[in-house]
Amino acid sequence: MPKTNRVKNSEINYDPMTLVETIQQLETENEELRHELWKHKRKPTGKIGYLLLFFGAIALVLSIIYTSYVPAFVGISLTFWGALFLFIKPTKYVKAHLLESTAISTFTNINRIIANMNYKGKGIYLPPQYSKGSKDGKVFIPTKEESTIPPVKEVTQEKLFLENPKGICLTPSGLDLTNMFEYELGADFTKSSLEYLQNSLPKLFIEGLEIAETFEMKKRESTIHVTISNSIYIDFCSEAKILTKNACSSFACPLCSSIACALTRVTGKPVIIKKNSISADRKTMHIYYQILGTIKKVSMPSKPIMRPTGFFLPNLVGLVSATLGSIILAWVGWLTWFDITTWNKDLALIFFGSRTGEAISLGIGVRVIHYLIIGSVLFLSSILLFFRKRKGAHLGD
Amino acid sequence: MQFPLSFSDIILWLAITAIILLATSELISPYYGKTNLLIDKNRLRLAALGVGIVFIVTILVQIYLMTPF
Repeated sequence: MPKTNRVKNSEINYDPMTLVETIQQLETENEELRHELWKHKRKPTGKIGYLLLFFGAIALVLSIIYTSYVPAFVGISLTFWGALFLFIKPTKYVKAHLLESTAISTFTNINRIIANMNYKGKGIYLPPQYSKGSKDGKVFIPTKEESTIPPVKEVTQEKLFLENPKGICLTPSGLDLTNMFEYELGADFTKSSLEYLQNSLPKLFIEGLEIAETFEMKKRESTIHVTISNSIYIDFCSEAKILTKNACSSFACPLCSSIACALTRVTGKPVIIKKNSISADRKTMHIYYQILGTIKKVSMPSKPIMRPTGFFLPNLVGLVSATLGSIILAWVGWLTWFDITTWNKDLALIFFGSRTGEAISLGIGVRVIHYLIIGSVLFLSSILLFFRKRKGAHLGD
Repeated sequence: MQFPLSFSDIILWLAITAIILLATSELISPYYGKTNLLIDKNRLRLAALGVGIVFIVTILVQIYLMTPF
C-alpha cells in the first residue's frame, strides 16, 4: 500500500489557504492511488522474455562446460520459452471500453445534428455503383420516413445534401471496418455472394478479429437477421441507444453499419437497418437488415486479395492432428495384419511385445500399443474439436 | 566440452513442448469463450504448429537413421 496522508472531514479547515493546501494534498494522494492502480492493471511486457533468455543461455553454457543433463534441459526450455514470450507478447491490444470513450461523443453529435435537421427516414446504405470506388460507401438519410432511394447521378456528385429526394448523404460509420473485413478475409465483397458472407463472417468475428463470442447470419426472403453475442461493441451500441433516439436506424453504430456496408456490397442492392435490439442481460444483439430489391446471385471470389496466415491456423492444427492420427492408426493396422498373417503372432504379443532393436522402439522402448494410443488420441481429439468448433461458430443457413 | 543432450533427448523435449503448446493454443481459442489472455493467439498457434512439425521431422529422421538399409 502507498503511503497516503488521508484527510479526515473533521480536520478540514475552511480557511482559503488551508483549503488550497488540502486540495494539493488530495491531488497528490489521488496521483499515488492512480499509480498503484496502474501497477495492478499493467499489461505484460517483454521483460520476462529477456530474463528467461538470459538464464536459459547461462544454463546452456553451464551444461556444455560440465557436460550435465539437467542444466541442458533447463537451459533449452528457458531459452525456448523466453523466445516464445517475446514472440507472442501483446503489442496491439487495447482495452475494449476505449472504443466507447473515443467514439461515442462524435457519434452522438452526428445523430443530434441529423435529428435537429429533421431527417426522419431510415439510413439507406447504397451499393458500390453509387460510389466512385469499390472501397467507398454512402448512407443516405431521407427527410421523410418512407424509404426513397436517390438516383445514382445525384449521389455520385458527392453532394452532402441532396434535393431529389431530399436528404443527407454521409460516409457510414462502419465503412473502414467493412474494408478491414475484406482485407482480413482476402476477398472482394462485390464479387462474393451472400452465402460467402454467412460462412466467413462468423469465423472472422469470433476467431480472426475476436470482437464477438458468437455470430449468426440468417436470411429470410429479403430480411437478414444477424445475432451477435458478447460483442465488444455492445456497450457502445446500448449507450448510443440511450443517448440518441433512432440512432441505429439512421446513422448506425460502426458494427451495425459495417455489416450493412458488407451486405450492400455482396447483394449490389440498397440496405436499411429495419430493427436493432439488445437483450435484457446486455449480451446479445439482434439486428434486422432489409434488402431493398431482389438479391442477385454472384459467384464466389476466384482470386483472393490477401489473407493473413493466422486465419488458417486453427483449422490447420486440427487437420495436422487428424492426418497424423490417421497415418499412425493405418500403420498400426497394417503392422498388426502383417504380424498375424506372416509371423502368426497373437494380439497381446503384437501390441505389448518389446521392440528393442527395431526402428519402432525409437531407441527408448516404445511399443505398438503406444502408437495405437497416440494415433487414437490425435484422431479422436481432432474429430471432437471439429464438431465443437462447428457448434461454436453458429454458421448461418 | 560437448553438448550433453543426444538426438533422442531433443526429440523427447520437442514432443513435450509441442503437446503443451498445441493444447494451450487450442484451449485459449476464442471458441471456448473470452479467456482474457493478453497474448497474440495466432502467433502462439504458429509456434505450436512449428514445434509440432519440427518434432515430426525429427521422428522421421530417427526412423530413417535406425532403419537398416
